[in-house]
Formats: sequence, C-alpha cells, structure tokens
Amino acid sequence: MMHPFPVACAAVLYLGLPGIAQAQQPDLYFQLGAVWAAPLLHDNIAGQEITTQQSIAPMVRIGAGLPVAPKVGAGLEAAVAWGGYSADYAGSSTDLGNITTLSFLANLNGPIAQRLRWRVGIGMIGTIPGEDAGIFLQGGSWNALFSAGVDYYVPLKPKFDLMIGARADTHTLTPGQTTLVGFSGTQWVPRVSLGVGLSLKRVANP
Amino acid sequence: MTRRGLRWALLALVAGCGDAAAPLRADHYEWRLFEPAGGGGTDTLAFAWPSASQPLRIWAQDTLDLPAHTTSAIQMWEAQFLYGEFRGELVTDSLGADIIVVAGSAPAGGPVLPSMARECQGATDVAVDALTFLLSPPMHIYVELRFAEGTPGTDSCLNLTTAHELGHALGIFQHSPDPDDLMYSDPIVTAPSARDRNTAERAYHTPTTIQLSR
Repeated sequence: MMHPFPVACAAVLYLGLPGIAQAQQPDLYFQLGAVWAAPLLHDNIAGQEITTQQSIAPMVRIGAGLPVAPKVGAGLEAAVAWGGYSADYAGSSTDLGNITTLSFLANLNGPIAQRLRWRVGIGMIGTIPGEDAGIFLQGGSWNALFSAGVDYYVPLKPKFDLMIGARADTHTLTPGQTTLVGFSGTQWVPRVSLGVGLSLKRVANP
Repeated sequence: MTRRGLRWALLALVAGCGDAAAPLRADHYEWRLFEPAGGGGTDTLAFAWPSASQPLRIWAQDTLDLPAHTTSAIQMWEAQFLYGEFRGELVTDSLGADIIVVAGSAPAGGPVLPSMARECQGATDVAVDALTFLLSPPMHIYVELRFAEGTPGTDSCLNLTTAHELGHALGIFQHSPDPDDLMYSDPIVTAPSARDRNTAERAYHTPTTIQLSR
C-alpha cells in the first residue's frame, strides 16, 4: 500500500507546476547527480562491529517554487536515488541488494550572493529496499528529513540557467525489523548530494 | 536573517548525527560443541557457513512434502539474520548441494545431532574430521515420521523438525535447554525464538574453528 505522504507531495507538485510555470518569477529546476549517505546502521554482535552502508547513488532531483517575499522563495523539491547497500564486517562486505530513497521537501530559499542561493527544507524520506530482508524484513520506512544547501546558477540560455545544487541533509531511520530485534534510540543518517541541471528561471540579482 | 538561518540549519544537521543503540543479544544459549582434547583440555568446535558460500544450495527429497518444509525452514532462518549471513535456495539437483534433506533415519555410528518431536524425529550429521577440523559438505539432514503418514500433527511436526535440523546444519551444534526455543532437543514451538535468533547471530559473528573443505 502506498504511503499517503509521498502521494500527497507528488499531487501537490503535479497540480502546482502549471501555476508555478505561469508565475512571474517561477523557480523550476531539474538536476542529475549523486548522493552519499553515512551508514544506515551500526551493530555489534559478540564484539564484532557491523556497518550497513549505502553505496554512492545516482540521483534525480526536481523542484518548483515561487517567491513569497522580496528575498525569500518557497517551494517543493522531490528527489529519487537508487543504489546498492551492503553489510561490512570481519574485513568483508556482503551485498544486501538495492535500495531506493524517495524524498520530498518543503523549502525556503533566498540569495547569499550573486548567482548563489541558500535553500533549507523539511520533509520526509522513504527508504525502500529492493527486497524485504535483513534490517528491512518488514519493509522500508518513512522518516523525517532535514536539509540545507546552496544552489549556484550559471547563465546558459535566455530561458535556462545551468544550476549546480549541493545539499547536506539528515534523516532518521527506523525500519520495523531493527526495533523488533531490540535496537533502541534514533538512527540518524546524514547525507551529502551534488546535482547539476537546468533551472527555468534566471535568478534575479539579489 | 539569512546567515542566522543558515547557522541554525547547520546546527540542526550536526545535531542530526547519532546512532541507534544495538541490542546486547545477551539472552542466548551455547551453540558450540566441546570435545575432549589431548592433555585434558577441551576443543571448542564452532562453525558458520562463510559468506562466500551464500546462498547455500539445499536439496530436499521429494517425499513427505520435504521440499515445502525445507523452503519454510530456509525462510524461517533467513529471517533471523540482519546482514545476509545466511541465505538459502532450494535446488533440484543434489549434486553440489551444501545440505541434503532426506526422509529416513541417520546412519548408525555417525556424529549426529538428534531431535525428537511428538510425531516425528530428525537428525543432522556433522561430519567433521576430528584431526583437521575440516567439514566436507554436503551435510545431511534426516527426517522421519514416528507414526503413519497422515496422522494428525505430522505436517506441523515435519515443518518444525526440518527447521530445527536446518538450525544444526547452520552451525547451532547444541540444543537449547529452553522448551520455548526451536532448538530445544524435543522441539515444540514452530519458529525460532528471540533466543534462537540471538544464538544464530552470535554463531555467525564469532570466530570459527571448523573450516569448510570442498
């Protein structure tokens, strides 16, 4: 069954895009890039350290927004990344299959300097395994996501800017199986991503 | 305003770095075999299938619904591990299998781990060379009925007994003293318990003394 949050976010993006595109200063962008994530889980069994780690994952990011104040914009951003993950222990690595992350962020943005803008957001991220096994035996999970980053715009065409986006974000991770086997507390997973793409709007000089 | 916002955002990111606390898994039972050694000492026999052997190839004789019971047993034990330590697949050709499940009694005289449920019984051979500590697959699991086929309870018994014996084949070489565990000598429960899970996980993250010989 689909989680209601991503469905709602996708619907807002889909329904809002035509209006944003018609706006005076629309903020529409598309990026391709990669995301690196810190370990998904640290474990210790009988003194042996085990680290579950995602690989660097290719990523697609889209976003849309509108100005809400003279120097502040608001928008929604969605990103999907997919790659492998593995468990590393005793000097070897066990391939655990594939994992997809799907994230939705509501964000605010504004100018830092010419062509450079800040962007901070809050939202949710879904961690979806290719196979329900291991720490994801009971499936993936949806968790809170907090993001901050910068976007750099390079004039490219009259209607498009080249856009380079860097993000640092962090999210909690709570697969049901880890709770079942006795993990406690909150696992935070910081991530860093870099994307390059096109932005429909050339950012006005701050 | 902007810079202060960025500082708060960075602070939030730094604060958002922390790990969940791993369970202690203290509740487990002894899974290793202890054999008398020369000089009055004791040898500890511990075994776990190496990750390079995964997924284990498991063949089941096509009688007593053993393929279905074996598939169920594979799924039960796979679900106990978090990091792919054990993965199994049912194969159709016994040639090259790591584990063979057959109907019948274990040959007399071999090193076996027996179990006796109410309606059926099982055994697993642990053919370890006493001198070299080498284990040569395939391991054999024997399962047999104690009453006529079709007797009420036999299907459930075969299921739990096959799972129990697969636990031995995975490296749990001793029985649990607790009847609430699947690895109790005369198993009653139908699936591995938390203690079974803790024990299996420990078996796969503890140094082994028995090596695989192919």
